[in-house]
Amino acid sequence: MNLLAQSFAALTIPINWQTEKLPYTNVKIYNVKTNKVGATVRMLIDSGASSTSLGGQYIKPLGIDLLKSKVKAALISLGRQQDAYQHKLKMQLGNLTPITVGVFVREGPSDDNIIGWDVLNKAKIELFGGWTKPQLRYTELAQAAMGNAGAYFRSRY
Amino acid sequence: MASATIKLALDSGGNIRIPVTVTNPKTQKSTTVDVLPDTGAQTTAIDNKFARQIGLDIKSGRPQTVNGLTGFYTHILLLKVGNLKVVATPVVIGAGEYNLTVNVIGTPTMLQFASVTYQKNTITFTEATTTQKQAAYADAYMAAREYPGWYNKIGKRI
Repeated sequence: MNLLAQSFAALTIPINWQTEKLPYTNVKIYNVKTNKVGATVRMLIDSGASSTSLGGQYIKPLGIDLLKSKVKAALISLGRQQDAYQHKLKMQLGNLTPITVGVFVREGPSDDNIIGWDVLNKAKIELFGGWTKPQLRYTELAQAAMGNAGAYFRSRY
Repeated sequence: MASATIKLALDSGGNIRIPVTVTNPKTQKSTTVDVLPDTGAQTTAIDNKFARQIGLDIKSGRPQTVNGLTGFYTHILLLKVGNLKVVATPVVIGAGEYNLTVNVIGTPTMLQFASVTYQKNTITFTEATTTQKQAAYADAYMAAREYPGWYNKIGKRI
C-alpha cells in the first residue's frame, strides 16, 4: 500500500462570523459498552482547552452513573468552578470515524461542551478562509493514531 | 506563500504554547510572549505586565467588557509569528483591578493568516496575501479610535 497516497476523511466546519466567531460542530455521543446512542451535542473545537468536557445532562440518557468514576476534576469556565467526572465515551464528529475519548462530564447541566486538545492533537486542524469565509477543517489521521485518543483516558483512569 | 512552523510547547496544565513577538506601534517597543493559540477564544489577550513592558498606556484603549467585568481595554498591537510579516490585531488587556494572566491568540487573529494548521505537535502559520491590506485597515481604525464592529467592517471590505 502506498501510504503517501492514502487520504483521510475530513470534516469542514463553517464559522459563523455574525454570531460567536468560533468553530462549533455537532457530535453524536455513544455509550462505549452498550453502544447506546445519546444526544447530538453542539461542541466547540477548542485548542485552548487541555481536555474534552460535556454538560451533565447528556450522560443519564446513555445509562451511565455520573458519580461512578475514579477521576474527578474541578473545571473552571467563565470564572465558575464545577466538579466533573471522567467517563469513557464514544464520540462521532459529523460522519467521521467514531473515537473513544475520556470525557470530563460536568456535575450539573451546562452548555460548555468542548472538544479539547487531548482529542485535537490526534487529528489535523486547519483554520482558513479569512474573515470573509472563515472555516475549520478537522482531518482524521491514521486510524491507529486516532485510537490513541483513548490512551489519554487509560493513562488517567 | 511564506509560512512558519513552530513546535508546540505544553505548560504544566497541559495547554499548548508558542512564542510570539508583540509590538506597540506607537513606541515600537517589542517583547516576546508565550501565547496559547486558541481556536476556542473570540479575542486575543495578553497579561498587562507585557503591555507595560512595551510602553502601552492601557487605559487609552477602547473600554472592553470581559465576562461581564469592566476594566479591560482593547488596543491594536503588532504580532509577529516566526519570520512572517507582522499582523495588526486587536488585543484585550486588563488595566489592573482585573488582569488576564493567560496570553491567548484567538480565532479572529489566526484568521488574519491564510491558514493556521495544527498537526503532530506543531503549528504552521501561512501568510495571507491580504494581511497588509487588513493591517492597513486596522491601523486606520486605530488612528480614528473607531473600534466597534471593525471585524465585520473589514470583513466586508476585503
